[in-house]
Amino acid sequence: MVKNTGRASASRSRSVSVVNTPTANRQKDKLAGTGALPLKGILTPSKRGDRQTPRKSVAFGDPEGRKGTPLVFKDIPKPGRKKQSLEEQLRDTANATKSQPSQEHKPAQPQENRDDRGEEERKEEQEEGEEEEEEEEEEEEVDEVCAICSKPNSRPPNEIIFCDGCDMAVHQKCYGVPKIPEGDWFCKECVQRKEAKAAEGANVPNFEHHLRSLQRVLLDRCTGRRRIKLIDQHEAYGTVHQLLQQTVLHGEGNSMLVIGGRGCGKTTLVESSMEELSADHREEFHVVRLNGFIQTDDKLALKEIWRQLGKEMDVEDESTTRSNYADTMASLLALLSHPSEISLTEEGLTSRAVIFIIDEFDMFASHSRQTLLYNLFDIAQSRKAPIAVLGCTTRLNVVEMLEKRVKSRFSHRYVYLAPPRSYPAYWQVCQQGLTVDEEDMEKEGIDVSVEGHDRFYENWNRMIEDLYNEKSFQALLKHHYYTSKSASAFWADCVLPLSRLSPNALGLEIPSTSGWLVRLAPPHSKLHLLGSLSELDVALLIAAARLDMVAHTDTINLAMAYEEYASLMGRQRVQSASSGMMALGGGVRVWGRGVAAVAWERLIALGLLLPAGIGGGRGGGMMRGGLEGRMWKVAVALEEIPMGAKLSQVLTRWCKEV
Amino acid sequence: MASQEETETPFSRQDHQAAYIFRPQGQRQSQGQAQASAERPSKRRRTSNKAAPPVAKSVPEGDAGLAASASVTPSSLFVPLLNGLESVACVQLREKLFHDAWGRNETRVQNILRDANSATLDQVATFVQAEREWRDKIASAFIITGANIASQDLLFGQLAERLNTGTRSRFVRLRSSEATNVKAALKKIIQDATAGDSSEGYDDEDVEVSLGFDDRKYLNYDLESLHVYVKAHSCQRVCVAFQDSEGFDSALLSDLVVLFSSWMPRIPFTLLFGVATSVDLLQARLLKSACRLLYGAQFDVVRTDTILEQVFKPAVAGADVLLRLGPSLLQSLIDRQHDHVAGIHSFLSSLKYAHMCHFYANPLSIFAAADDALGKQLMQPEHLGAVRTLPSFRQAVEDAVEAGRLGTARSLLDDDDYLRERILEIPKRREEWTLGVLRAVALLQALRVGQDGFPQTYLAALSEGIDLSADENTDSHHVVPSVKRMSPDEFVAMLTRVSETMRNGDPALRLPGWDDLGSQAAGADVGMDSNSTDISDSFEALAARTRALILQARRDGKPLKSAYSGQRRVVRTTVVAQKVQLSRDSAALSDADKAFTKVVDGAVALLAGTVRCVAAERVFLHETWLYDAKMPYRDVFVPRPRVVFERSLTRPHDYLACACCRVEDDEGAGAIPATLPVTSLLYHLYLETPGLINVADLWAAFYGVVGEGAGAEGEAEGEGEVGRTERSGGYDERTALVLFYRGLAELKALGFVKHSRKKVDHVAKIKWL
Amino acid sequence: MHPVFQLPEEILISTLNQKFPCREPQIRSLATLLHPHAAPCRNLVLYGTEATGKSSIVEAVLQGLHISPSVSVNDHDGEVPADHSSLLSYAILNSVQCITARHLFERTLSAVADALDYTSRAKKCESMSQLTVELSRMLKDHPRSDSFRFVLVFDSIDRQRDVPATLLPALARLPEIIPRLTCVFILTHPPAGFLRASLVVPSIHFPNYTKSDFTKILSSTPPATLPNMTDDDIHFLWPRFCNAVHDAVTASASRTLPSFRRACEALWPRFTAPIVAGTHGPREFSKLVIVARHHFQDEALLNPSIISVVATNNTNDDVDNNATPGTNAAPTKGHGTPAKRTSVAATRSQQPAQAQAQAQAQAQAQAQAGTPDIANLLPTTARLLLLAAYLASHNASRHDLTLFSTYQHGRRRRRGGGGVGYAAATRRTKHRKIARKLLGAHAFVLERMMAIFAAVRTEWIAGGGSGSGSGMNMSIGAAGLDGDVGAAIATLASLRLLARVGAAADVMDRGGKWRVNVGWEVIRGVGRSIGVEIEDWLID
Repeated sequence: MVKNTGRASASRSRSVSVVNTPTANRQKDKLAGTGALPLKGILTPSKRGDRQTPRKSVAFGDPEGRKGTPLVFKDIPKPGRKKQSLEEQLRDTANATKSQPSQEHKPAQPQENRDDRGEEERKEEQEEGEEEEEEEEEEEEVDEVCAICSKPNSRPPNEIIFCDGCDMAVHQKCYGVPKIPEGDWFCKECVQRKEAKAAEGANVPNFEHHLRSLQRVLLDRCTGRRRIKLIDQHEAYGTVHQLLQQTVLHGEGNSMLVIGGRGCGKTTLVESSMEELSADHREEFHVVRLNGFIQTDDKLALKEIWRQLGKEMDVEDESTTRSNYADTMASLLALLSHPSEISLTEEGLTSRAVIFIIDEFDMFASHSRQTLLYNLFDIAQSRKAPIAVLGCTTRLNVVEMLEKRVKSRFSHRYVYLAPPRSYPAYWQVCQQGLTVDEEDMEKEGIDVSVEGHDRFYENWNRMIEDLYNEKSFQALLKHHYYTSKSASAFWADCVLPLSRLSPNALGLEIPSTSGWLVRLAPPHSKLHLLGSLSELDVALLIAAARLDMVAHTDTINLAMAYEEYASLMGRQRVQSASSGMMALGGGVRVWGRGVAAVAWERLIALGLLLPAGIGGGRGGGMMRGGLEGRMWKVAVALEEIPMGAKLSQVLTRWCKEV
Repeated sequence: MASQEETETPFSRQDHQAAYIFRPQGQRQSQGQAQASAERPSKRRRTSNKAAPPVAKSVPEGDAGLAASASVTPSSLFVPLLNGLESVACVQLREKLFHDAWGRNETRVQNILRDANSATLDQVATFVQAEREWRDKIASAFIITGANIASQDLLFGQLAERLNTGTRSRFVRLRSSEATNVKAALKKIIQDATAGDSSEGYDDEDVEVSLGFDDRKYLNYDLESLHVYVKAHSCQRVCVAFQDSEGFDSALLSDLVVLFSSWMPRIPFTLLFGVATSVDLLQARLLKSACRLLYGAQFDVVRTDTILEQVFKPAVAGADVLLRLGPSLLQSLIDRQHDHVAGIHSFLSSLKYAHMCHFYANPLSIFAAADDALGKQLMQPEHLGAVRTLPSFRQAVEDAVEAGRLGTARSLLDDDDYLRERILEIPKRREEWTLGVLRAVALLQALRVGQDGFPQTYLAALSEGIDLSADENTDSHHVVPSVKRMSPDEFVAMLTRVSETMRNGDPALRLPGWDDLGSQAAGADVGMDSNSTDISDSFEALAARTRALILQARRDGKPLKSAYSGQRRVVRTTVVAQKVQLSRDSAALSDADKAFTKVVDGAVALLAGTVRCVAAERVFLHETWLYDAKMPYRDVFVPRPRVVFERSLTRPHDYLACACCRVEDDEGAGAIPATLPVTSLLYHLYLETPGLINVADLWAAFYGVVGEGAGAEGEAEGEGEVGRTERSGGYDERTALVLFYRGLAELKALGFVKHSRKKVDHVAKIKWL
Repeated sequence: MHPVFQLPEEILISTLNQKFPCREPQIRSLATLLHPHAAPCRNLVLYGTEATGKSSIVEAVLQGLHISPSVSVNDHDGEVPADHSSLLSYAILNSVQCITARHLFERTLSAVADALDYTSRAKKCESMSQLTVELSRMLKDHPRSDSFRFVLVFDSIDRQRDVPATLLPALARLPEIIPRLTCVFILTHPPAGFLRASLVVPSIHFPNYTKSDFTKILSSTPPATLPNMTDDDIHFLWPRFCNAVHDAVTASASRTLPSFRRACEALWPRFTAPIVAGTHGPREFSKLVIVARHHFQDEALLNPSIISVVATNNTNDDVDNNATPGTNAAPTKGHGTPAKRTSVAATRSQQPAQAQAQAQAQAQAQAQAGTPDIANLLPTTARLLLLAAYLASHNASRHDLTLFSTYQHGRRRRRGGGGVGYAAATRRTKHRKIARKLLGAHAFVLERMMAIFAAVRTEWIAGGGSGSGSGMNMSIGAAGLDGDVGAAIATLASLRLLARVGAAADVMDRGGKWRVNVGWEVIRGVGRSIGVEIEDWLID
């Protein structure tokens, strides 16, 4: 860490105060790539501050921006390279693991992800953290002294840097760090500690087997192919389970709604209780699974019910091939209703319970007249047959969507699944993606008997704990907790790092910094598109966005945008000619209308321009030039554009000076 | 007209009055949809009292091969004229003449039209069939057809039969009306390309078709099926022709292009666009991304005006055309062609209509035909009477009287046999005149002095004839001066052209060379030396002489010039000054120049002698073969609904000639008779209103006119006597209100008013002009 | 016993890297997330702008995994798959080719059936639920080793036509219902939570190439050698040339790989023309750039005309010798843009510069020759009506009196003022006022157009010497909306030069609303064809 007046905080997270400028990123990432990847053991500084930075760049970015931003950022990479190589040397001495030649020099840049992360960080984490970061910085400023020479002064080239493991503060000169490292920097103690761990982890007998099988389990969990234990949802689980049991064992008709946000384990809840139920009473009930997305209307839903029931209880085939809706429904009712009511009594047919699991329940509520729900609820209520209707939905107000007659038949039983309430709880959930508890080892198919099992897992868990204590990891976790509280978002970040673990590269870094690992998080806005635009595209976009402000028209067509663009360029020309600096790259070239039309079309294709309503868009497709004459809305705001892409000074000025 | 079904002659007198009720059967007479109405006449024929062979061969009037036989089939729409006294033979003769004349024309014109496209067809075919090894772009031909959509059908039909060669290459024509969305377009393309049974239409149900060899079924808009077909039959290309590319929704076009290119290597598409406006407009409408996928070539179809030129010569001006169109009619035709319709077809139809009118309505038209035997035995006294009413007849008589040849005049007037003789001369006279005119025009064209095209020259010749010997100011074409002003080389070229023309004539005009037909015709109209061959020879001689002069001038290095070339003005001015300078000027001419001048004078004299003809009106009895009536033409081809509506509303009397709605002129414009039909009454009020009409006011005014308080005239009204109370005076309020609403509704239906959103209980006035 | 974890082997990845340069992170992650023994996930989203290798890389990776030995032969669970086929098969569906959602279902079904060579495919598949049933039938009932995975790739799913709102979520649900299925969605920009999946869907971003990437990719395929140039000359020149092109054209105007390649291929012959002509040496790069600067300014590189061949005689046989198999021998890297083709044809005849020049000249000539065409194609009445319609569309009706009333005398002057006012207005655009002309055409009532037509026709036709019989021309439209004028309007409408707004009854309907549908340049051309400067008649 650098102690440096005014820039301390920014350089605490050098890596990403750079981030806004892709060029810097590219170079940096290329370096990160050129550092041989497999060598990234525990030694390699896990890039951190990846999280904090954008916040910093908000807090401090502006002063940076004032004084020629690129200049500051350009030279940062160089130290990175130096330090990288240095790292390699001392790791090569440390652990003798060699790298496959094929993995040399990987150029790559996940800068877009960082960009997205950056800009969305602003959204949530602005309020939290910023302040305390501030004053933390303050006190650091005053009283940090070098641990060796105990002098507080920190001037380049001899700044005070902090160890990212133990926050020990030393001068570069005193500690012999010629350049300020690019990523995180650890003092020798921390380095040795980590390395020691890795070493003793690595020489566990049949280490590879343990690692691989563990990876299998964890990855399956992270990619959602194995069910995760529910953490403190016991009462919900209890209610659901009891309801099902009543239906199956005592032949009651029940209906219940399971309400909760996406990915907070509704399906897990239902399915696990189903499993437990079917464990002992498999023979006593049928399950019908419907999904509101797939069975898009009641007809299809009925057909599906028929199919599933017909498959489970072998109904004579002609009933499944019923075409007409009405008698399908009728026969379904007949099938479900109690033998006492219908004359024909196939024994063992309706005595069995049927459990309807309706996913995306709200979609069914949107069907016409809610016939299916009505009938199901009706059967469930008027004890015709032992059926249980379990509806899973994400809409809290789903009951308002039900018609009166349907609502009246619904036993108003709900189970609300809340996301983890506290940060530790959240970590507890997320932890399952990284560790395996002892009790469900064999459930996950890991045989404990293999030698070295215990040592391996104790190492592993310790490593996870260390990881948990690392700042960047905390930041990532916090981020997910404060934004979505969804564990799967966190797991998505874990997938690739986990998959990269190998006996000779044990450093688990989450979030990973190595160049070739892309972040799997979805983009947060359309701004990632701006990065791939050409200058003309961006210029047109800015012109359109400007019109929105200067001319108070929310809908723009190409003619207007091009007019604005041309006038801006004209002014730009005058200025640059007057100020004599003509060399601003392609920015000064005014492109013709045809090329502008091409660019415009590209913007539309990328969805950066959205068609305005028929009110604005005069006469749809057959308008002159197809797209040219029509009116459009700009999908991004003017002030967002500079965040999305690195702009030339000219364009930046266009965005600022309205 | 109600008796239409029962009348034995398919046409009754009422058909010729200005306004008649439209009946689908009645429509038969106009533009020869004989296909539609072919059966009905054959049914009615049995009851008809004409001598009719029962064999019913119904022929489309269009094709000329059967036209002659069609004249025999008494499915005749021609009716006896001369108050019905005309003999059946004459009627049939007229019809026969019509069919012959028009049939000949039409075949010619059709051939011309077909040949006109041949060059374009070849180019397109070579382009389409060219082998291309790169597959990332769709080869597409843009064919500029011009604004006449009608001609596109012919062109693309020819293209189809040119390119649709078995399964090797398929050709699909798309019209914008057939392809409204992607699905429909694909259905049509796949169906036509795979030549699948057209059992299921292009309607929106998605049937599954199975093609290729495996039994897999495909949706009928799934290009996969086409791909299978192409693979199965190893097609080389699938041509998709967007016949009227402007008509298509541009989004649909680009969509299709992108779709095709996504299939491109697997299905070898080739696109053809019929472009009516310009490629740039089309390109501006397509998406740029779609444009990038096209490898285009542009082809031009021959323009309409050039086609008009080509058609004009044989069909209108040709030597063997039976019916001459008069100058004024032709002029209006050509102008309409130029100003309004950009299609040759309307010109043809109007031409045909002229023929029909002439032969249908002019009993004397039979005498234009060449076979006099027929004419003699057919001739009826009524004919003679009719002839004696003709203006040209009167003209001839007056000329004879002035010339003092009273005998001639008298015999013209009284002596029927003499008149018969004269009538029988008509064909010969006509041919002579035609020959003269055509020769004169052809020579004028050969001179290449007038800048205006053939039709204009022809028209001028027709209207006021050609006489080069007249003094130069009145000479419309300024031929003589420009000929005189020619440089020696041009002069020689001109002479050779002239003699060429005289020797070979003009095939397009069906005009034979001068010498290879009997000299009596030539002698008859070309006044001076009878033998035409030595005219051309003398032209040759002049040319040779000039060449000699030129050579000699070259030899002694002096430019050859005539007295008229170069500084003619100087000469003229000096002429008015004194004759001394004139002499000096003439002295400035070398004797070679003098010789050349002599040659030029000779040539001019010769031309003046040769190139001459009289106006058509000056020919005796030209009415039998000249048709120059504009009136029915404009009414038929340029309907003017608005004018008619407004007139009928302002002056209903012109249509329902009934006493009640006569607008007396003595009472001023202000007073509107309450006896008018309600609608026209309202219309009169309407004319005085501003743009936004308060209905209440209108009603008040209306009631003021027709209400009880209003004028005491009580006679029954044209249509509205329903509610007319027998009490003298206007209607009572209820009836008036009913009438008012009806009238207003009718005005609305006629599109004079519409509801206005601006103010309630107001109607907006739509009519501006 | 689950198979233990295993990474895709390096050989596959390295080959892919050579095939698709500058895409290693994506390739690695993709391989990891698709490999049956690595971390196969249920849904996967690949997003990024066009021409960044999404589709092709996915296909290549899947192909590689399909045939890769580790996946097929030594699979780690004991039982050998019933048929010795590989553990991963896939089907790729391009939504651009699917017209309806049902079409997509059908094609999906057939593609899967083909991939599994499953004979008894269901006859028809109309709904999502049917598709689900069929897929699970095919994938579950098929005897496979239980680590077998099937990958469904929905390419450019965001361009699927008439897609119901539930389609994408439903497709994303498929892997939850069918365990061994993986769905890959390829699109430009995934909206937040567009799959509404319970788990956060891993999404891999394919960013656009950087300058170095562009040049690296293109310099891997150097062009054919030219006279006066050795191979290493080309290897010296080509990358620099690509750099120059990138700076001049690609970075500033259109940053996509295809357009970059197109630009390079179009520019290369012109750029090397001096070398071929022998005026410059292949090593003096800067001089060459200076010589070829005006070529770099050419905008036709990015905005090519659709007309590549002009059907005059010389270009006809040009087409022909393009068609001769002789040219097939010429190396045209699959991208036979016309410019390149002519250049190839010309390099044999040793004067590419001229060939280029004339090809360009023809293209330009066509480009300009196009516009005045329609002025000649349309009859006079139609032209007049078109002009009247343009005026009606672009003048506020409050100016009509000023413009068209024949009584006023100061009219001309005011018109001129109008023109100036218009110019000023365009200059004032950024001050709250948008020039009316920029707003596109406004709708007008047919009667208004007819009134304008009646007002201007005498003046214009008298003024404009339009062909023959201008005496007759005075009578154009004298009868108001008569048959001919109606026909002219119908013609214009059928050519979409006049567009009807809303659902008017028919052409002759007085109340119908219309809008002119052609641009200013065309109109000016038409106006000049009858000798009228439309600029004078516009007030803005």
